[in-house]
This record gives sequence, structure tokens and C-alpha cells, in this order.
Amino acid sequence: MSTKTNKLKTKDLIVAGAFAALYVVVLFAVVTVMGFVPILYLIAPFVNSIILGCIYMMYVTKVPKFGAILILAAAVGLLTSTGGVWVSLIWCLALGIVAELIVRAGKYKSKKSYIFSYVVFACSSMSPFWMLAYAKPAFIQSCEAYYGADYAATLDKFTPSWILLVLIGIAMLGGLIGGLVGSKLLKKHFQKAGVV
Amino acid sequence: MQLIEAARQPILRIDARTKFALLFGVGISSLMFPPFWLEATTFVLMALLLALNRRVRTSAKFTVAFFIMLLLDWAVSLKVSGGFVALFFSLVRLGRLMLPIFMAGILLMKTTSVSEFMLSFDRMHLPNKLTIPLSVMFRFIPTISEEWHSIRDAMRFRGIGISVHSVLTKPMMTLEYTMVPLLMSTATIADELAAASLSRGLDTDTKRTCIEDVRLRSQDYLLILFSIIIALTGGML
Repeated sequence: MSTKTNKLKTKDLIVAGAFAALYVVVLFAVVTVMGFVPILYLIAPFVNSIILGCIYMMYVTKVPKFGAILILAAAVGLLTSTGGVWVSLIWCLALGIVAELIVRAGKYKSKKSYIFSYVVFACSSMSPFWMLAYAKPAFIQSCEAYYGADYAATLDKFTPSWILLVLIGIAMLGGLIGGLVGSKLLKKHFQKAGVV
Repeated sequence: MQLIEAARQPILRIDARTKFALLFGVGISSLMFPPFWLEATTFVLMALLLALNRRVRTSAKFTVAFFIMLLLDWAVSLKVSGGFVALFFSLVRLGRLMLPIFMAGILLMKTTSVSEFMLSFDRMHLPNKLTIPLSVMFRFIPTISEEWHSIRDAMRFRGIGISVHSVLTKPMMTLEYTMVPLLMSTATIADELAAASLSRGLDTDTKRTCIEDVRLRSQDYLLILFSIIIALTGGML
């Protein structure tokens, strides 16, 4: 592991791409599986943050350089915004910058700063849910046309606008757990094997 | 060998930038809940494009799914009421709206080579620091699902298959048993990929050439125009 330079090399960029792909696939897989049950769908950010913690921790320890987290953020943002949710690209980039600064404060060495940065970055796992804020009026309107005003009203009641704050909260909680679990797994499996 | 190559060539070649435009356009339009005729037009177009890019079977599968969902929607939606509606609605109507997005995603990921990605991103004037990760990412997504299937099979052989039961009773253990092999294989493949690309001169400073003929043709302009139009008008119609 060449940690002498703090600049991203081509090799790091390829690793970044691979881990970004893994991150996004798991993110979407969990949301899709849980999406079948409405209540589970709403705790998907929590579960996602825990699972993605391992990937994030592995990635940042493998590429401990400035810009690595930003690239991940850009990739996640780009893919989650394919559903037309522009907000999520900006959201992911902002989280990426904050997480990057936290890790930078830890000089790319401190494990605590990595876990803390993940608590922030984990909020990206709720980025597909910006759809709720963004496409809700259209969604409700369409429900009304199809299934009547009753159903639309029920749906409206179940998704108040503050639900986004709740989602961010549980994502951060999941992020804390995920970060801790991730760093533990890393120690148990990968540092011995010399992968990172 | 030539035969194989010829069979792989798409009948209608479309640029990676066009595929991106389609993915975003279809995504925005679908989430705006377009009227049915627009939804159907988008679907037919995506099915055609998939078929023209030698993904006939994928295209056929999606078409069957689309018609089943449509029939269910028309046959049942007026008769059911109450809590069941919510599940039904999310499965059938939302699912149907998601189909074209999945198709655009498959079109982008499965019919574009890494070199096409790189050159297209380059033409979009993205910085080098982004073109490589993004190109690798889009090529890697199908690889991960392959890896995942082999890992799941290997786990099943050892009697620790992942199931609803295992997720509920031993969530952390299941997490460890699935994520560790996935992370391990991702790290290994990434290293191999890096070695392969570096030996082909990915990090040279000279301008790269590409064997693929990457340029925007008339069909690309038409499709991009279509994407922009459906993205802009989806919500208003």
C-alpha cells in the first residue's frame, strides 16, 4: 500500500470505481427488496447504512487519499439521481465534502475520523427518498385519479414532510452502527489477510 | 471469430451519451407519472432499442412483464379497495413505471464497452479523475451481480444459504458472511483490473485513441431530443 503520496493514482481511481459499483448495487438491492413492504421501505435507510458501512470502511482504508470519498459521493449521487431526483446528486456531493473534511482532519489515519465521517456519509443512503419530497404532489394526484380521494388522503397522512428528517436520523444511527461493525470486520478479516 | 463479432455488433449503434440522456429522461418522466400514451411510447421505444442492441431476450422479458402488469391493473384495479390497494398499487403501477428505467439502465450498462464509456465521458469534458471511476463503475455493476450469485451458491453448498429466516435470526452473522466474500472479491477484481489497465497504458499522459467509432449520429440527436422533451413535459401533460 503506497501511502507516501496523498494524490490519487490511476490504480486508486479503478478501485474507487469498483467500490462505488458495489456500494450502489447493495444500496439499490436493499431498497428494492424492502420496497415490497411499505413499513420496511421506510427503515431501508437504517438497514442500508449498517450494511454499506463495511463497504465504506473497506474503501476508505484501501484508498486513504484526498478525493476518494468525493468520487464515491459523485458516483452514488449520479446513480441515485437517475430517477430524476436532482436533489440527491447535490445532497450526496455535500455529504461527500463534509465526510472528506472530517477524514482530512484525522489526517487520513484516524479510525475514529473514518467512523465519524461515515455517520455523515451514511445519510446518502436515504437519497432515493428525496423522491418523497420531490414527486409527492404528482404521486398523490395520480393516486387520486386512479384510486379515489380516500386512498390519496391516507397516503398523504403516512408521508408527512418531516418524514425526511426521521429518515436522515435513522440513517445516521445506522451509520454509527455500520461504521463500528465495518471497522470490526475489517480488523477481523482483511487486515490479517493483507488486503488493505 | 468474425461471425461472433458480427453477431455482437448492434444493429442501431447509439452513443453512451445518448444512453445517459435516455436514462435521465426516462427516469424524470416516469417519476412524474406520465399519461398512459407517453408511458407506452417510452416503453416501446426502450424495448425496440434493447432489441436493436442485441438484447432481444431481455426486451421480450420486459415486454411480457409490462403486459402482465397492464392486464392486472386494468382487470383488478377497479374492483379492489382498502389496505390491499396500497400493496397492489406499489407492485403493479409503480412497478410498471420503473420498467423503462431498468431498461434504460440495462441498455447503458450491458451494451457499452469501457472504452466507449471513457471516450464518451472524455467528450463530455469530465475531469480524468471522474472518467476512470465512472467507467469502471458502470462496467462493474454486472460483474458484482455475477459474483453475488456465485457467493450465494457457495454459501448454499455449505448449508448457510441466505434466507428470510437467517436475516431475521442472525442479522449480523448473515451480514458478515455475505459482505466479507463480496468485499474480498471486489478488492481482488479491482486490483486485477488495475494491473490490466495499467499495462495497457491507462495512466499515460498522451491522448488516448479508441478503436470504437464514438460519435453522435442522427439517431443519437433524435433520441437525446426525445429524452429532453419527455423530461420537460412529463409533469405538465
